[in-house]
Amino acid sequence: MFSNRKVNRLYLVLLICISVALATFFVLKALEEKIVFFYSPTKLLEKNVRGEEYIRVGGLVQTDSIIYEEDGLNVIFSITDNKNVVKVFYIGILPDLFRENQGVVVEGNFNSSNNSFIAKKVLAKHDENYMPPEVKKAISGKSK
Amino acid sequence: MIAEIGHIFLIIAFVLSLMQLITSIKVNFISFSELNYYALRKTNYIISLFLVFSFLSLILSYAISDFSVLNIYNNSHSNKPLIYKISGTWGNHEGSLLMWLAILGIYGFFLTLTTKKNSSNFTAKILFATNIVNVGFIGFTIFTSNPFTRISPIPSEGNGLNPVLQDPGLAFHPPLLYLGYVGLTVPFAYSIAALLDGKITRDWAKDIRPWILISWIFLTLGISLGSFWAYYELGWGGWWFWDPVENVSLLPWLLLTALLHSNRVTEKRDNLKSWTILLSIIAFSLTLLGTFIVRSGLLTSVHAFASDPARGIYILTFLFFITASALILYVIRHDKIENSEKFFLISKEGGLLLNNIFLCSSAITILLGTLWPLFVEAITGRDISVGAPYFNLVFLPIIMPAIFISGIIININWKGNSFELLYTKIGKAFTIFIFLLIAILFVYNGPTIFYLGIALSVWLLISILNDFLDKINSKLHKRKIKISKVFGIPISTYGMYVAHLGLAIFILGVAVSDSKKKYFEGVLKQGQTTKIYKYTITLQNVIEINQKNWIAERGEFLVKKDDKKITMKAERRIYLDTGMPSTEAAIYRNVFNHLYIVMGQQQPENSGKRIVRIYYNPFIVLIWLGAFFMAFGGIISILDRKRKKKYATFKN
Repeated sequence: MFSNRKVNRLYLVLLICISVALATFFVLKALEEKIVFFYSPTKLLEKNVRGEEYIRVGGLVQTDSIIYEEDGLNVIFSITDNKNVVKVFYIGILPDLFRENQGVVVEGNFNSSNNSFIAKKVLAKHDENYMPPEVKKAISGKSK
Repeated sequence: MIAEIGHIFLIIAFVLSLMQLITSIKVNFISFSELNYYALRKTNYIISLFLVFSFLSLILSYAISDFSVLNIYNNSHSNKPLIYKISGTWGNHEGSLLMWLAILGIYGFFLTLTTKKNSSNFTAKILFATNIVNVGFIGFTIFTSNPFTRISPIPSEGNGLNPVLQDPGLAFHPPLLYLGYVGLTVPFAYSIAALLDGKITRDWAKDIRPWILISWIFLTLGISLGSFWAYYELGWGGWWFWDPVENVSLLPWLLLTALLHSNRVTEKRDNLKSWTILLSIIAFSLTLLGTFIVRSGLLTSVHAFASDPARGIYILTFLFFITASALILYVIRHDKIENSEKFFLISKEGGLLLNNIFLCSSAITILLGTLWPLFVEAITGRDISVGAPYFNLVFLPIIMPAIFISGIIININWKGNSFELLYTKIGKAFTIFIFLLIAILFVYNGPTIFYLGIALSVWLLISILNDFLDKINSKLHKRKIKISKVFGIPISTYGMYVAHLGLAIFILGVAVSDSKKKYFEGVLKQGQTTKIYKYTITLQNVIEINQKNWIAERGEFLVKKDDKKITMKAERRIYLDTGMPSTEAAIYRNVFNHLYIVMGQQQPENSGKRIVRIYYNPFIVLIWLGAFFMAFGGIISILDRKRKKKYATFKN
């Protein structure tokens, strides 16, 4: 009834539909679970962020806030957007460009009971003149 | 003085390419004249020369540290080895764009040269497309990112180069990458010409094949070199971070890989023509999109280029103009391009198409993940980031079947091939392989990625070997191998084998290094020891080093394994010109495995306590070795064409 060519086309269209559907499924599922939200310190305190939520917080490293624990492994510092401050606990090597008044982004979990942040990662960029756009916004207060 | 000459060259190139655009419009759409066509071709050579010489004069200005040029003042320092002064030329936005133009010039030169033999009608259309690209990019450079802007008064010293960039990696990674990106202009131009012409011949596919291969080879090398550079320079112990800039380089690579395969179908089977054209257009648009994302500073990335909204808007306009007009042209004209041969689904061409779909789907998922933060921000105003977990979850399930299928495609024939034929060829190997896979699954309880990776890698090896044995098998006497047949296999087939062998090696490297790596992070004082895998590592001492352009603390680690003893040196450098710190990891290679040590600063200060990060990365070398094999396979494939061409002219 159908020519070979048409059947072939049909298979093709079916194949494309199936793979697109599969791809969309994976993408939507992943986007739902794997995105990381960004907060400025002010936003972090305003919103109720659950402790299990993995998030990013960005701002400037507050002057005189860096404390190295005696064991040499633990670091405590504060991130500020010039309005509010969040205390960050981190274990490990800090990036080369981590210093006071430098824009950084930390990734980890927020503990709202004592306003502290447990960082799994500390990100500072590889150019001292560069500031992550989110941090720039956080400091200028435009972050929604 | 040199800078002025370079600047003038650049302006001349721009004026000429504007004239070229007018001439090519006249030749193509108003009235064709031999004289105009001749002028079009010759002027193309001249533009190429001006672009290349303009770039050379910037390099020269960098070499002599001419700080009257703003770009050099911002990005260089007299107190720097000559090699980094030169490579620093393209270590910044403006300089790298001029390099882009020079490469555009080089491609334009060879494109003009090789199209000599084509019909003048068709070539004029190709040149029309390349001239639009020329005008767009030269204009972009002159109006938004002029590398020759002067400053006065002339500073006595420059600001210096980011220490991360003071590395041989900078000398090779951007040029290779750009050679790959810019090379895509040629298939794009050929596609536009084909659409304007309304027809393509088999020669069309044959003509663009070496260009696609060259682009692909350079892009493969450029990306893998970039990955290697990031691995040893950034001190994070990893080789791929799903950073937006990495993603936008992977996108054209995936499309280019798809194009490489679909073009093969067009060449061999005179089919999938409009698909090949569409892929060329999209691949080229993606390089523009990549440039836009990187240059506009829209997305957060390790490649921290200073962002400038004007540049973003220019590139976005250009991207929109090129992509939209190319796609509209495609929609209007693609009907004219007919596939003359019948398309068989169960055949090499069918398989390649299927693989194309997988490759493109995987590219779409990466594109989505990369741009998602922009969408979300535009719609909800929230800042988000999409990282490695997303890409691993989405990209891997799509790319793995593609790799699996490619093993079958290697073994299947062109044109109608029944399942029975396919079965006689690879059925046995396939059944045994699947049976083994399932059997192993019962006793295996390690990481999934390890299992799947090894399986894919082995499957590719089996497929290549099976096809090779089949090709050298004498068909008359069953199961007798004829060695003479080894020389009968086309060189391009060997190229294909080597490239896919490279893929197998790459996957093996990824699977093993990812699932079997060891990691230690802790505090070491002088004389303290730690153990990782089979290595015992002692921080022996930390000494101070003074170099011409940097000072450093160097940690000397004594590494013992069995009876072997070596010393590894990890550094924390401060570059004097910028005052910026930089970590130099110590890497010890043992066959394919790396021991990788990063030393942190003293915490607290002067306590003698240092955080040390140690990675044991088994088989990680295979990742870059595999990529190198892939590129090498591409080179072999190009060689084949030359032989065929010689043969053809000989016959004539």
